[in-house]
Amino acid sequence: MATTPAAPARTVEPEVREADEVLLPWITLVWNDPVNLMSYVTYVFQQLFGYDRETAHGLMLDVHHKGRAVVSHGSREKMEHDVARLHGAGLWATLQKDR
Amino acid sequence: MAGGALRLTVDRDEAAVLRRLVAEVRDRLDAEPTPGGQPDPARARLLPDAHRDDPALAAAHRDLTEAGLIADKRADAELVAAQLPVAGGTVELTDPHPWLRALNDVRLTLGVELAITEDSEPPRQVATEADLRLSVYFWVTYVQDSLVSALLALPSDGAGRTW
Repeated sequence: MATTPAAPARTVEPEVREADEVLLPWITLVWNDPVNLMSYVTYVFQQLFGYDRETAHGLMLDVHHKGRAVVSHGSREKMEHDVARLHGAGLWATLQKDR
Repeated sequence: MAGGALRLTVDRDEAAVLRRLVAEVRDRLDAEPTPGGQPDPARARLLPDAHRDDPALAAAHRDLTEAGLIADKRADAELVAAQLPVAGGTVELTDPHPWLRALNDVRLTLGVELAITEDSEPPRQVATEADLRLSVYFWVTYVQDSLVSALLALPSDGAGRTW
């Protein structure tokens, strides 16, 4: 899961709304479905995110057993990119704010 | 596998079935839903919503990405159709990823059509068109799983290939 970085010391307070946007990352979720193969999902996680076999396998098992897994986190733009690539691979992925 | 390349051997009938299946995927992608018409659930599975609980954000994401997603899936389907030997034979998969994606798209659309669940099993006998489609689904599953297993068995896990 995403970790919230400590806010840097500032002499000028930023607007609260803007700070929330920065501090609250987005996440990409992959949802379980009955068609995608466990081997294929593991392979896609390795290929798209550069995860090692063990990490990719663990995320795949989370999708399979818990129904979903967070596979990446970061800016909204980055998550939109990740979701589009996962859809390209045929995985059922969504993005949302991490809360 | 030799020299790190994957090879897929199909006979004439298997090549014809695969060519027909990837053409079905392409035709579904081309069949844009008409306003007020019944949406195709298999097409919807190929092009899912990017936001689960926010239709407005999902629609905005779709406006930005869907045309590219359809073009990529069409390109995968057409590459597979072009590389399949008409008379059967062996294909060297120098880039196996379009094959993996195209076979997956075939399985996703058949999965919706056949209402596949995690408990689905191959038919005991093939008596109907649906039995035939179900047996084809499990055959494509076998082909895709074989390709993934071969890639995962490479020392590099396929690292260095571009997705």
